[in-house]
Amino acid sequence: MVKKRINSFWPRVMVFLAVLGPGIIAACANNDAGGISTYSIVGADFGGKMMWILFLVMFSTAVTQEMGVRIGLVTRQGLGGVIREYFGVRWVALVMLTMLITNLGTMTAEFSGLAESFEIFGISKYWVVPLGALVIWLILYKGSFKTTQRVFLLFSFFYLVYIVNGFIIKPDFAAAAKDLVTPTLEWTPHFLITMIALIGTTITPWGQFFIQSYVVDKGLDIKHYPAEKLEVYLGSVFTIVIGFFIILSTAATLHAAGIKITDAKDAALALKPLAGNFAQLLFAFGLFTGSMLGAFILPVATAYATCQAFGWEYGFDTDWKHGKYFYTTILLTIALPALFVLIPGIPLFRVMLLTQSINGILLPIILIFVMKIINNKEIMGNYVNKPLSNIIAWLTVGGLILCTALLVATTFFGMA
Amino acid sequence: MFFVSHLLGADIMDSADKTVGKVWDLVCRPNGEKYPPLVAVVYKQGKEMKAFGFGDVENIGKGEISLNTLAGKVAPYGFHAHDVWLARDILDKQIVDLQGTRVVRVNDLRISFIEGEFRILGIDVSTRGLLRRMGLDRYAPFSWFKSTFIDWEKVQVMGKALKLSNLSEELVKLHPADLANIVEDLNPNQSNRLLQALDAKMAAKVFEELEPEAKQQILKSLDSKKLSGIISHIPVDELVDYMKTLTMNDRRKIMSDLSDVKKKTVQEFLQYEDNTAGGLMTTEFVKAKPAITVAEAREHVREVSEGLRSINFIYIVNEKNELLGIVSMRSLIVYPHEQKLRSIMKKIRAHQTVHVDADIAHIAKIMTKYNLHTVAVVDTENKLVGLVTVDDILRHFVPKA
Repeated sequence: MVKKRINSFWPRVMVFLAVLGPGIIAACANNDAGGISTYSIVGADFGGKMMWILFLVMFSTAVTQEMGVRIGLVTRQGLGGVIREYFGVRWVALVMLTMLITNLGTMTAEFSGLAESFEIFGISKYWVVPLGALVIWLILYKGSFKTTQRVFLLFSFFYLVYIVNGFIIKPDFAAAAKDLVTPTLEWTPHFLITMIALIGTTITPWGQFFIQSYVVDKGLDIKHYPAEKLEVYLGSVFTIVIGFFIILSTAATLHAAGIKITDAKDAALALKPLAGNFAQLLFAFGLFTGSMLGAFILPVATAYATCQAFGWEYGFDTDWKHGKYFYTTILLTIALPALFVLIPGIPLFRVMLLTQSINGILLPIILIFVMKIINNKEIMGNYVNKPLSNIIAWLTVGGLILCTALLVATTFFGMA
Repeated sequence: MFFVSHLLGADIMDSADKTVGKVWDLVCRPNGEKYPPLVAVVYKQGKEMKAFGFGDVENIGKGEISLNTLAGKVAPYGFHAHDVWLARDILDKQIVDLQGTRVVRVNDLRISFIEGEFRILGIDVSTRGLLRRMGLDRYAPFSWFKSTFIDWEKVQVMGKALKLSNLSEELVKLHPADLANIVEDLNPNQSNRLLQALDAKMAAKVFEELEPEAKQQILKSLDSKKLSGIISHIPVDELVDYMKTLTMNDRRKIMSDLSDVKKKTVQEFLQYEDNTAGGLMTTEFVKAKPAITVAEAREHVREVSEGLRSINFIYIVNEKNELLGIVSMRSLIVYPHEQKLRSIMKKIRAHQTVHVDADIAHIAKIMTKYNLHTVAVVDTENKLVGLVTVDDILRHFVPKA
């Protein structure tokens, strides 16, 4: 009989992605529309001034993601479920509301990215966004969520082109290295809001839920901890390296030329040293896949987390009657952001940045619960936090709250 | 209607209207009765956890528990290993709804006064229950939601001390396929606990029904004693299908658990391709020689029955193990004792069997053409090696059910 051999390219790639751990996957998923636009704006508007924050965020990302993995390995359930079981209905409702707001925001960023990537070719968002929303829903509902997710994760390696680009520019690496360790601040709302966005796009509320569920769904348990820990650290470094080169590229091109990003065409200029006239095409492709990656993951991730926390039935194998909350959540997370993006004349690239700031502002609420769980001996047993992780995580929480307070102060009282 | 959410945090007042403390938790002891009684109230005094028996309770109301004695005279309650704390162990946790065969989260617990005691009546899993916990259920539009309950009898709590002895009877009565769906919906810690609590035979049936991903998870985390117990109860063909999804390392782990005879059969089976007769067939069937009588055949069936899932036919083979024909269970009942199987068997011709390499479409065609529920599988030397049953074919065409 016919012997079916797996010898074509795609199945192999799929298998490869299937064995990738949560750390690398989460790192890839970070390169969504919100991520690339924020990093681009950071470089274009402020040059290398925020590099030091990126450097610090690397440690925060490593620590927070590692905590998510550890809670997943020990409790073997999603973050929403753990919060529900140990803090009750009221607190989990607060956390879920926070997640819902930030996820709707991030979803808005994904649709903005989708619209922008086609805007480069002069195709109107009034075509692209509704069609995109429909395609996403159909693939989620009729197709395979996992396969699609993996395809787009694969594409997210696209952002490696920024590393190549970074070397072609021949930037002053010594200066960039100095930027990494030289704290610089501007007391303006624009600087602060961008800074919060930079943190909020790298350590995201949804990412915290995502990495923990991923660990649980893969059936990993605590004996995989050493390997997963290493992998999470690698993933965090990878995230930051990509961010570093995007900022480096936009700083050396856009910032040097004094160009402010208003749409994807501007952001694409950063890739000109590498791709010349193809820069726009390349950037559009990257932004498109990044947007789609997030747009596929977020609705499902939101619905899973919500349903787990409130005990509603979920999964695409449930029917509409039993899974009404599941399907409603997915539909709303697709429809509301899509409608928002269709508002005539809104500056989509800035919207992307703004949504990531909201992520950053609300992130402490999620992280505080993560901290309470991870330091609870009853839940974590011997796997409670070590002091170093606690210090880094609390500094992250404190830093974000401080930034938000400063942002409010500078905005309303003109502290500058 | 009383709910646990009305009582948690409620003031405890003694008979002189003096406040003793606030309710921290309520204790019940499942004792095999339909609705288990509440046995104690846990409260905090400073940092210390204290409890008194329900015998001291005069009445319960929304936000208040009144005692029939003075604060100093309450009888301290000694905690017991089988105690279930409602807030700590049940509220907000996942439980199995046995009627709906699904996993749900406990939003609230309904309490009622039955036969002289306060007892747990059922579990509230509705949105109304969620709203009540948030203190919102009294206000429109939230008050429009209706409460729905699951009777306490129809519930399996998934606590840490889950054992065979405290599995609900209703749970054990569920179909393995339903139980498998439940195992998939629980988190890995809970599903392990559930499989651990089932006896090996049942656990094996449930295991077979699991999705491949869930099987892998179980293999990784179930303790090895239970796992080998499960594996010894799985028919060879199912076991082989499962092993084909595993890495070499995991295969070796399972192989080491098998008896030598079974190991050899498994190794043989592993060579067959999926979706061929060899890959789909089972080797569990009853063989007999044509010369034996109906009475002897009946006795034989009785002897081997224990180890086999189902018996529909006896396969009649010659000395060389070539298939001659089949005798149905019906014939075995209808015909007289002394009749020889040779005279009552239905002859099977070569074209009504399939070769081990035959693909699934061909098997399906043969079965459809000759109206067969099972088709015999022969090897290159025409020897009978196994059977493919119609459900193996169906599973191939409808994999997710």
